[in-house]
Amino acid sequence: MEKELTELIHGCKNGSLGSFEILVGQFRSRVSGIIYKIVGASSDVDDIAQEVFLKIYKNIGGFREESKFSTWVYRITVNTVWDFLRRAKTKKTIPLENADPVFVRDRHDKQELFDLLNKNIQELPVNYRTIIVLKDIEDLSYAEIAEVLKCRIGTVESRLFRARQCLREKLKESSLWGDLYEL
Amino acid sequence: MNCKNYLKLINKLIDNELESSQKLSLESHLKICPECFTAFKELGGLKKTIRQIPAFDGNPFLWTRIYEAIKNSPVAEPIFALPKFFKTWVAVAAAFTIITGGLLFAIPEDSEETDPKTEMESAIYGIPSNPENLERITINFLVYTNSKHV
Repeated sequence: MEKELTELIHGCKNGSLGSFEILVGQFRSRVSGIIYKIVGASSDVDDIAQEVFLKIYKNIGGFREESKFSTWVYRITVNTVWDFLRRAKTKKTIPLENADPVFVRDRHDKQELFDLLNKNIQELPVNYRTIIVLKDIEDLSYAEIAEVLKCRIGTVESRLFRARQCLREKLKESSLWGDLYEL
Repeated sequence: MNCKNYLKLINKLIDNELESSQKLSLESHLKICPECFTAFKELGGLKKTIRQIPAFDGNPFLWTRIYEAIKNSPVAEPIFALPKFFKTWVAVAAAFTIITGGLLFAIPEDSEETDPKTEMESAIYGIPSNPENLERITINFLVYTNSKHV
């Protein structure tokens, strides 16, 4: 898998659009997923994802294969999303589109719980939201997250700790809390 | 170590980022502290639930948009297009260096005082013996040719 990726990267560096198309196909879901989870509005995902991949295309010639390619892609994605949010001047929160309040039925559907979780993640400050996405959804290691965010591992640890505490405190107020963590 | 510190270790434990020595200390504490044990259960469960959130797949036709943008935007030219441009300029720079080097080697070292006639002949038939006197040579040449016609 790594060897195939290396060959694709070399193909892109040599100007092969075919290689770049395959690369886009391999990373599209991950990039779009991160964007959606941090930004929250699916209408903006395509525009931001396009911007991310154009940046990758433009700069892949300068990619030094000292770090993982995926880490490099994540870094570009996070920076592009943060730039977008700064431009939109909605750094703090963007509510989920069609985020209706969750009402309790006789039996809590999984989707209701996921909606509640998504809503509360979206209401976190963007720094906390980003790190929850990178760790709990994308499952990056602390070292990888530190490389993506260009910070120390200690910063990742403390930020993740505060983000989870914040999310836990918010969710504890919900009647679905017991169902959430026992899912 | 107090519960606040153990809480930080719980985060590292659920992320598999805890060193073995700290793990032993934490596991011992969790056996005797119900609050920390509850926090461990809640944080671990919460992480597990977050991981179950369905992935957002995105637009399967995203490549079409990207391809159009690459084709239509000169700004989106990749850095790996540089070698073509670079090769042309390397060739020009190399040619310039060779010519300049040739000129410098062709100039005799003690060219301060030279026979004007030699200079004139050089100006007519070949490379000036002293490029610094090119202007003077040109003027002299014009005078010389005019005198020939007079």
